[in-house]
Amino acid sequence: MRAVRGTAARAVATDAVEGLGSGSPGRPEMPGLPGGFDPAPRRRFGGVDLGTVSQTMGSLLSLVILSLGIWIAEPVFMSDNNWINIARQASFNAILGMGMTFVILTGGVDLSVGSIVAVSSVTGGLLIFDYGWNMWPAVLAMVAAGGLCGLFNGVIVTLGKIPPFIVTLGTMQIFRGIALQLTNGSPRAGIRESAPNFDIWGTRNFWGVPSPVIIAAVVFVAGYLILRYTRLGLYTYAIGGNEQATRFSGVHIDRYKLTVYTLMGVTAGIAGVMITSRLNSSQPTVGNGAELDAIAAVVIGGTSLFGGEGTIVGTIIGALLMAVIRNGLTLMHVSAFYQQIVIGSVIILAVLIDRLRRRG
Amino acid sequence: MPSSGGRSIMVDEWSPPSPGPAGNGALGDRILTLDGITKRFPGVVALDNVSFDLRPGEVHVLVGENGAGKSTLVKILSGIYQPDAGEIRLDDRPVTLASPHAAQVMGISTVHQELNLIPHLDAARNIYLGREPLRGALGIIDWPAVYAGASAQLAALGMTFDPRTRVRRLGVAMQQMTEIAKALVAQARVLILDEPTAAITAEESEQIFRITDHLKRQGAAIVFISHHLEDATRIGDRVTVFRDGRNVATLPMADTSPRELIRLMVGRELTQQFPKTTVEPGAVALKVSGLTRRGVLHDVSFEVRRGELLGIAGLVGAGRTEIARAIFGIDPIDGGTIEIKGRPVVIRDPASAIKRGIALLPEDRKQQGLVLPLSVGDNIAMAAPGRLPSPPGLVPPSRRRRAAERFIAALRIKTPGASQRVINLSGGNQQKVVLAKWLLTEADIFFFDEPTRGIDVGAKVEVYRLMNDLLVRGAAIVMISSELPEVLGMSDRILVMRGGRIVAELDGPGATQEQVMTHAAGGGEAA
Repeated sequence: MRAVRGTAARAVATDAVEGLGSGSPGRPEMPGLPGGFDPAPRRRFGGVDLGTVSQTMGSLLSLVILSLGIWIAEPVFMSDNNWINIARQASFNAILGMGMTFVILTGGVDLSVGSIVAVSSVTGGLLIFDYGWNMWPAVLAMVAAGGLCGLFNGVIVTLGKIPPFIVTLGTMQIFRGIALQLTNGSPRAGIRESAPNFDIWGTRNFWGVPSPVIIAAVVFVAGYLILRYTRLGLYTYAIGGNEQATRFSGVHIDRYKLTVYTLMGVTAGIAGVMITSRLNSSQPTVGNGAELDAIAAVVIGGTSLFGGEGTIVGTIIGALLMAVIRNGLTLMHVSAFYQQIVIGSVIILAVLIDRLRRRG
Repeated sequence: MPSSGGRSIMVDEWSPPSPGPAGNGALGDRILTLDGITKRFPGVVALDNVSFDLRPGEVHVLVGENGAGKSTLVKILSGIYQPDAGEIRLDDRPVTLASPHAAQVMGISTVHQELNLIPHLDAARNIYLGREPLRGALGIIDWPAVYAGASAQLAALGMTFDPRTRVRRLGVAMQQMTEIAKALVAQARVLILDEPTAAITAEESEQIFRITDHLKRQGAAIVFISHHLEDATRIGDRVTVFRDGRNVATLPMADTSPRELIRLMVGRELTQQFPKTTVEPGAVALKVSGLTRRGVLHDVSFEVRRGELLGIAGLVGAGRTEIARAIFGIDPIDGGTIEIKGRPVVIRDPASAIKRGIALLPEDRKQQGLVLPLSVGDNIAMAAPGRLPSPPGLVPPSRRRRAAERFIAALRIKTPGASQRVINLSGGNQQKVVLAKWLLTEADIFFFDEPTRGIDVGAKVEVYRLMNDLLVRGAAIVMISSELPEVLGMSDRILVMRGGRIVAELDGPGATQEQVMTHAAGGGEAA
């Protein structure tokens, strides 16, 4: 039924395009180009545009080289178990990073995501402990709470015409304050015991894969498809690439920005569910500094902080790279203090390499 | 480094070293001489062997069409551009104006059309910016001297506003006075005023004229650039006419007339680069009545028919682009009605304009027309995702590419493919991408704002042919252009704008450049 309707709509749309579309009676399948223009060889390989791949190529290469290096120094690094470990450690940051990728692609930023994670976590604790909610409705409410926070950011950014940096710098405090106020600042443990099965979001494995990794994978597929196949995706890039030209093309900028900030909130809500499940406790202080890790993953992944350019694949690689560095250095008994120095250097290096590559 | 006191800060104290009594510098007594100045940009010779001199105590007016080379000359004189050839002599000594700072130090100050003030600082601080009087060994700024000096300077210019007013709170005219005061503090001997009367009222213009009079009596040389020939003839002592980067004449103002100036400015044969095809006009596609936007557009009314190309001519700032922006829903309007195909419509934003079949190819292609980092396909799909054959909300890359490939072929866009980023395309091909975007929306009312700006001659002709194709298919076109030959060569009818109003409607094929310029510059009635 649905398929039939889709086909009909498609046929109509095709006719409409050909109404005024072009001077020559163009068919959707072009039989070669008229006008004697010889198309130059495309930089395409197996349907993939190499131009966009090379953006993420640098970080991918770094990931591989780094992994090999750590492997040589510390063979246990390459074990299946350790990789599962790394993936699980990366998944929290990756999920936030994917929401952040959308925001940064539009030319914005969201500093409040760490606080939104806390709001999500506290919401869960409140509903489960004080109102006796079951796992499923509580989880949905946690994600929705994150979405609401994101929507709030979006509304202020679009209606108030205030730079996102400022807005989310403010809401970072506001959301954190709300989370602390609601709980009097103290964590509440024992979620799993009050809401059976809550552990499926953080600690359980399915088919040998930790659930956070599965969640991150689902978010990744959704994010990838949205960016590649939907109007939202096209306009996310377009708004960041040139907001004025996008507006002049009849795009309702505010509507799409609102959506993007809401999606960011939703991913933070999901991350809140994951961390609450993992810690088996609802904590108002959770996610402190998570926004900076997420931004770092996006930047290492090759997305431009000015917006318009970048990929979600890059962000995944960025998050993995950060997890690999932390994991590898820990295996090599490097202190956590050094780890911070290394991560910081990698952020700057990633952008520097990107700049040099662009100039060349 | 310099201590206070060494610097004169009052108008009355200010007098150039080579004074000419009562504005009569002896002939041959030149402050500034330009000899054979040439400036090339990729693809254009902006100034071609231009010679020119300035005498103390004169107002020297520069006139010419948009793009004739006046701005380039101003930029060379103010140290922004370096000439490729030629010599600049100050008091008969060759000099190099290596930077804006160097030009100022040598006594050449420019009040640019886009004012160079810092909006958040007050007038006095702007006036003394970079040359604050210092006090004591520590070099502390002598603020009382700054404010006293600024007050006196402004008073001498006939200004009564408080020098502590932040510049952003001042009107354009007062900002200009602030700039002039700044030039005087810099002890300018040559003052360049670039279109000082373009954005201010007639009364405020009078003030400028009084000040130029005052300054030239003190022996300064003033370069006055203006499109308003009435202003020019009123205050100029001599006039130099630019055309196509050349100095075509330098005359005493008394020996010439606005008519002659226009003839000299235009004086070129229409070349046969306009492949105009005439279509029998159909029904009225767009009718605008009484369109008003306070301070910008005044009671603008016109209509354009299917198959008709309506040209809009006028000088920069006359309100041409603003018409397109208002109709396309970018700027709100304060009054007037818009009818499309006989039906009154309300257009709130570009999206509703697009829904009514309107397209805008904006004057600034890169800032307003394209998302440069995106691909050709994405740019084409952007305004009309609903027209791609795909389920609602989805715009699969394959569909974008296929739609784009159709237009790449039909419009002969030279690109390796639909996934090429538009930033890598030439100007002409970028313009075609913008056009393709609107073709996909199935627009039938097109606003082309400066459609051939910055694209080469061959590509221009292609753009004209595409316009012809649109007309043949029954589209209505409004073309805004600063290039008179283009307006004359392609339009069926021509509207001329001045000061936000339509001041003339001319028949396209019969109109002459002189007629258009006369109306646009307000230099008397056309023949």
